[in-house]
Amino acid sequence: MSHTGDTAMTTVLMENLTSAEHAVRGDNPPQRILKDISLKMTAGEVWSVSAPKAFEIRLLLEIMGNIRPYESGRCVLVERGMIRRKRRLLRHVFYVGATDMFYGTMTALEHLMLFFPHAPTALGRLNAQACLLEELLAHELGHIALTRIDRLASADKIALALFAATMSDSALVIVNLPEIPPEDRLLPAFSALSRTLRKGGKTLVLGTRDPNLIDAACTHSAFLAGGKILYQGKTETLLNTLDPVLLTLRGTGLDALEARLSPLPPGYSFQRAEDTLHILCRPPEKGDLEMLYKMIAETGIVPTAVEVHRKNAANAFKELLKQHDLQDDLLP
Amino acid sequence: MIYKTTFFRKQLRQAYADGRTGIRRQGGFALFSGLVSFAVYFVLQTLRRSVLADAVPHILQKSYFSTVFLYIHLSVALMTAYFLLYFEHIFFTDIRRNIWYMLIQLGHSPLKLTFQKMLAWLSSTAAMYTLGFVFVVLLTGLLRFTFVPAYLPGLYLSGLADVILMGALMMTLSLTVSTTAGARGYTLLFFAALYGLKAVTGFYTVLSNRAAMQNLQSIFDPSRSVYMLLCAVLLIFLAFTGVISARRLSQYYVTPGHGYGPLPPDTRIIIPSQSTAAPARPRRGLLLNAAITALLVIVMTAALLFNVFVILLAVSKPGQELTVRGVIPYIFQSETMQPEIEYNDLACFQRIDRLQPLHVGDVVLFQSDGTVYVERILSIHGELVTVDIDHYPPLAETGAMRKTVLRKSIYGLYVGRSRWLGVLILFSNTIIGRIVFLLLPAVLLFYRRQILAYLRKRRKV
Repeated sequence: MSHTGDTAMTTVLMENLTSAEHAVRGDNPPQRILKDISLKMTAGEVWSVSAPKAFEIRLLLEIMGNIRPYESGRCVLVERGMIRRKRRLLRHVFYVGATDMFYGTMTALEHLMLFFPHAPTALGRLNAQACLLEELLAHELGHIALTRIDRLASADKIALALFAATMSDSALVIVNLPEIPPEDRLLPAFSALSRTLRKGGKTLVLGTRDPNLIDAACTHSAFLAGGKILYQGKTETLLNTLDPVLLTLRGTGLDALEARLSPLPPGYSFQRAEDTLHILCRPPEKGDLEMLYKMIAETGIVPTAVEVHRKNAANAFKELLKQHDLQDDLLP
Repeated sequence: MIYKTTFFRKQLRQAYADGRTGIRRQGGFALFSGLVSFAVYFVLQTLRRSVLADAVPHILQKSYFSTVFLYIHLSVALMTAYFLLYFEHIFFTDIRRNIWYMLIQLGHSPLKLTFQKMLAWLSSTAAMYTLGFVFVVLLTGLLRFTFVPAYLPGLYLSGLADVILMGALMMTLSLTVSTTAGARGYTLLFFAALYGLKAVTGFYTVLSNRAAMQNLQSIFDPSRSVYMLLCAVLLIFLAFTGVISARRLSQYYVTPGHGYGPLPPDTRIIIPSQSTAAPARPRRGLLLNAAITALLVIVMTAALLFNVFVILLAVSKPGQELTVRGVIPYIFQSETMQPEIEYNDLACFQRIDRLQPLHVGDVVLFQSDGTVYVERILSIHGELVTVDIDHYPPLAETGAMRKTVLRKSIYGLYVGRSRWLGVLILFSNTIIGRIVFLLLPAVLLFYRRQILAYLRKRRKV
C-alpha cells in the first residue's frame, strides 16, 4: 500500500484548533497561545514545526501528541478521534518529549537490544544485535552505538529515540524538543532517519528551531508566530517562494560593483554583509539569474566568487516574519 | 560483546540505576549493616550498668540473641535510609521519567515489566538482608557465645518482614506520590508508625522473649501478637496497589515540570479557568521542608546544649558543682544508695543553706575531708547529723559507712533522679557519644548549607 499521493492516510488533521493556555508577558493582557490552527499531515511526510517561541511549538505538538487538551476546534490523529484521557499512551503515536527517556547507564546498542526482547536464543540475539549495529551504521549513528547514554548529547538522544521509532508500529512520530541546541554533525543521521520513517509510511513531526535540520530532513514545514500558522506546506515551496536571496557575491570591490549595478530592476535589492553581497529578488520565483550574470559581466568587475544561493529555511522564515510585519529578532 | 541481558536480570543487578546502587554496592551495604549492628552492640555493652539493663536486658546479654536482635532492628532503619537515599534509582521513578513509555511502545507488557521489577527488587533486598544477617551471626561466632540456632529463624523472618514492608511501601509511594520529597516524608511517618504498631500489638514482648522465640510459630501466633498478620495484610495491600498503580501510570506520558519547556523572561502561562482561581497556597512540600529544617535545627541545637551540659558536669569539682536553677546534678556511680538511687542514675540535689530544715530519712549531699558523700540521715542532734548508706555490698560490714557530720557540711538535699538521662549522659561521654551529640550536630548546624550544596552539585554531575 502506498502512503504517498492523494490516497495517503491523513495522520494529523487539525481544524480551527485553539489552545486553552494563554501567555502573559509582564503586565500585558493574556494572549491565547494558539489560535485557529489548521494543519493537515499525511503518511510518508516529514514535517518541521517551527516558531520563534519554543513554547508555542511545545504546546502545539503536545496537543498533537494527546498530552494536553485544547479548548476548541478539532484534532484527528491517524484517522482516529482524539481520546478524552490526556497523556494516555497511544499505540499509533510515538511521542518523544524529553531526552531522558532512557536508562542512562546502558549503551545505545544495549538499550536497543532491551527494546527488542523477542530473540530468545543466543544465535537470535547475536543476529539481532548485528542487524541493529548495521542499521545504526546505516543511519550514521555508529558513534553512539557503544557509548553510555548518559554521556550522549541531547541531540544524540533524540536521534536514538527516532531510531527506536523507526522500529515501532506507530504511524505518527512526534519529536517535541524545540529547545535542544542544534548539532550540525547529526544532520546526516536525521536525514537518514527521516528517509527510513518515510519509507515505512510513517509521519514524522519535528518540533525544531534549527533551520539546517529543516533543510536537511523535512519534506514539509509549518511555521508559527503569534499563535498562528504563517506557513504550512512543502519545504521546497517554502524555500523557493520565500527565501529572496538569489546570488551571493564574495571578494574585493563589492562596493564598486554595488554602485555599478544600481539601480537594479524593480523587485531586486542588495543586502550587504562584511565581505559578501547578496542580491535579493521579491518574489523569489521571478528572479532572473541570466540577466543578473549579464549585468555583473557588463560592469567589468570580477568578484572572487559568484554563487547561486542555496535556499534555506532561515532566510525563508525571516522573510515570512517580514511579510507579516513581525520582528525578525524573534528568530532563534 | 552480545547484550543478552533481560529487563529482569538488569533490574536484579540494579544495573539500570547508577553504579552506586549496583550489586557490589548492595553487598557492601549488607556487610556495613552487619558491622554497624555489631559496633552498636559493643557501644551498648559500655552502658550495661545503667537503666538499660532493666529496660532492654535482651540486647545487653552476651549471646547471639542480642547481636541478631540488634541487627534485625538496625537493618530496617539502615535499609530504609538506603532506600530513601537511592529512592529515584531503586523504585518506580523510571515510569515517571517515561522510560517505560518507549519499552511499552515497542511491545513490552506493562504488567510483565511491573512484576519483573517487583520480583527483582524483592530478591535483591532479601539477599542484602540475608547477607547482613549471616555476617552478624559469623561475627558473633568470634565472641564464642553459646550458639542457640533455635531462635534465629524467628528473628530472621521478623526482620525480613519489616524490611520488605518498608520497601513495599516506598515502592507504592514512588507510584502514587508525585514528588520524591513527599514520598520520603511519608516513608519516615510510616517508619515511626511501624515501630508504634510493634509496641501496641505486643510484638516486642514476643521478640524479646528468648524462650518464646525458640519456637518459630511464636511470631505468627495471633494470641501473642497480631503484628505479623497485619504485616501480611499490609504487604498484600501494598503489592496489589503497587501493581495496579504501576500498570496505570505506565500507560500515561508524564509531563516533566510544567511541561512547556523554558519560557522567555517575564512570561508565564496560564489557563484562564485557573487564573481566576483563588491565589495558590504555599506548596505542602515547601512547608514540609521548612518544618523538617526547623526540627533539625532544634534537635541539633538541643544535642549541642546537652553535650555542653555533660561536659560541664564532668569538670565540676566537689564544692564547685554545676548548679542549674539551684539543683546540683550528679551522675551517681555507686550502688550505696540502692534502690533509692541506682548505679549511673542522674541524681538531683537541691542546694540548701544552713537554715534549711532537715528531716530523718532525707538523702543528703555533704562534704567530709574533701570528699563528697551521699547518705541518708539517721538522726539529727542540733548541729550534729548522723548519716549512713542504704546498701552495703555483700560481705561488707554493715554500719562501716555510718558517720556523724556537722550540719554546715551538708549542702544538698536529694530531690529526684532520672534513669534515662543518666544513660544518655553515660553514652555522651563515650567516643561515639561525643561524635553523635557534639561533632555531628556542630558540623551540621554550621555547615549544613555547604554540605547540602555539595551533595546537590555531586548529584547533578
